[in-house]
Amino acid sequence: MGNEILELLNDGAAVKILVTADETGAPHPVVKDSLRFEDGKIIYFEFCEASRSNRNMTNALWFDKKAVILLLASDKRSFNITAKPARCVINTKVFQRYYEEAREKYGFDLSSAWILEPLEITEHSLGFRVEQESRARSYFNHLDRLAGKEVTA
Amino acid sequence: MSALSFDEVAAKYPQFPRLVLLKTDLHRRGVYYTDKALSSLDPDRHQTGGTHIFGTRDGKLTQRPEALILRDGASVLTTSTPLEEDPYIVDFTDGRLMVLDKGKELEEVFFWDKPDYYGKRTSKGVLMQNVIGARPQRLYITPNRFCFFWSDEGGGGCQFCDIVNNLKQQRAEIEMQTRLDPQDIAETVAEALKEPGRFTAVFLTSGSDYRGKTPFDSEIDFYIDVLKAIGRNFAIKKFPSQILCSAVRKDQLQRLYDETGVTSVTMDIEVLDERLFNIICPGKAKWVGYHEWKKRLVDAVEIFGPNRVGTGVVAGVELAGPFGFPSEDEALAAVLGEAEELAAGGVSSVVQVWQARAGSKLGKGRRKISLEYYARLALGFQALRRKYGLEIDFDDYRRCGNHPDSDLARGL
Repeated sequence: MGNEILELLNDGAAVKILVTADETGAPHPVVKDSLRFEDGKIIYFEFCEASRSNRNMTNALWFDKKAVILLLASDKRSFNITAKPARCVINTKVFQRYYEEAREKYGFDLSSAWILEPLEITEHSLGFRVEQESRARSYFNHLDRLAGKEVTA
Repeated sequence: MSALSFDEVAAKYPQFPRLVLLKTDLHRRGVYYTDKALSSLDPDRHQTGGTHIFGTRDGKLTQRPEALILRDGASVLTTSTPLEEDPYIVDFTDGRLMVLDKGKELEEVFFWDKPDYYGKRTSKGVLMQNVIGARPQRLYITPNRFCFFWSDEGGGGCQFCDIVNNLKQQRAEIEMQTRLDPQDIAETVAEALKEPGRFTAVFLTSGSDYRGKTPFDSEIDFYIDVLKAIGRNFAIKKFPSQILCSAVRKDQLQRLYDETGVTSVTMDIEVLDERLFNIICPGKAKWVGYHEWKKRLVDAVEIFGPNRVGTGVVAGVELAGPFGFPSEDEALAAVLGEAEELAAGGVSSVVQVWQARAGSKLGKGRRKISLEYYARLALGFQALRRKYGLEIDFDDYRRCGNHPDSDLARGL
């Protein structure tokens, strides 16, 4: 599904924001530079065990809820990636690999590596969205934009 | 009235995550590994059981998985259970390890990797896995595996416990030692710390030892020797750790805290009711007593600080035998009442689902405790922690993994 867009998560110049929700539905956005696309899954590093996003993500896994990733690519295109948590990795040799990478790249301890399954991708680049709406919902256009050659009496 | 099914409990308590509920029920009913599941176990990679302080439900120490991992990262310690006791089934199908019930696939699970130090020996030739067992994130050290409550002067071992019978079997079958040498422990910790990202806490527990000039001096003296040996491996004095000891006096706890790197203490009261405590834990009743046990727990908060003192209950024994509470409602009210008194004093209670073991007195003919009871109890204990602002980092899903209520602390 949209692998060429998901691959943009691996661009170091991209801005990546993870949005999770708490039990009241209140959104909690955080910049997650570690987000990446690997072997068909989205992965990110959670450094803080007690963070709100970690708690929200745990609840999302437990209660089958979703998270959203806002991706601003280096070419200024933006996408929303809806995903659901598939697994929380805190042990085994897989975790060790992530732990060593986190220590080397970021210098911090690593709480967990979250694996997310992408569900849907929608583009929200401004030009793309405006153009899309202008074509699909013609009543939302201002008439002066649609004016042709001036008619004279 | 028959007990609610798993799905009925899940529907009645929607705030209780199904995955944690499944973990609770895996503890309650046990698991049976099929031959295909056991064939998928790689002894060179995966951790197998046998070194735990307590035995299994079927009384066998054969190489079977010590535990499973769920997709939320939590671990489930498993005790292999005979089929006639209606356990969950763990099978290997289509390349996946699955938990099944009545033929229906419920959840994918995973074996956990054994640590790198397994298979190695200390300078004295002792197998390191017999010195320190491993949970996914915890170094599990049992310096002394004999419980003196089982001896002639002991008063009697706890009726749900099989520690001494299990030790006899381990000594005969897997060269397990009764008492560890602190030097072996120090060397094994050093080896374990070479594995990046593997462990987050050190845990010690032993059989109770009331001997000494005053009761439990011998236990504390030995723990101090062991903790000092462990501490040599760290660059800081205090390291993330938990000691599970007898309910010793305040001055003994002060020594333990001042002279070692230990940062939290747990003193398991086992059953939160005085009458049942006296029946089920006669040795603890003789050498400490119920009210004194509670007092010493609260005293420990002054030394270790808030969020660092706990007590475990073997949840379900309060309903066991002819002496147990006549109903789950009565048991729940009593247990939560006592737990609240402790929580108000800064002490966190945790649930350990009673798993009847072959070598214990209560192992035979036990009453079936409902899943709903455990769900209500776990929710109750976690609610108490929230009410009194208690954290359970030292005994949570990663540092221990054996308490469904402290798993809830991740999200609730």
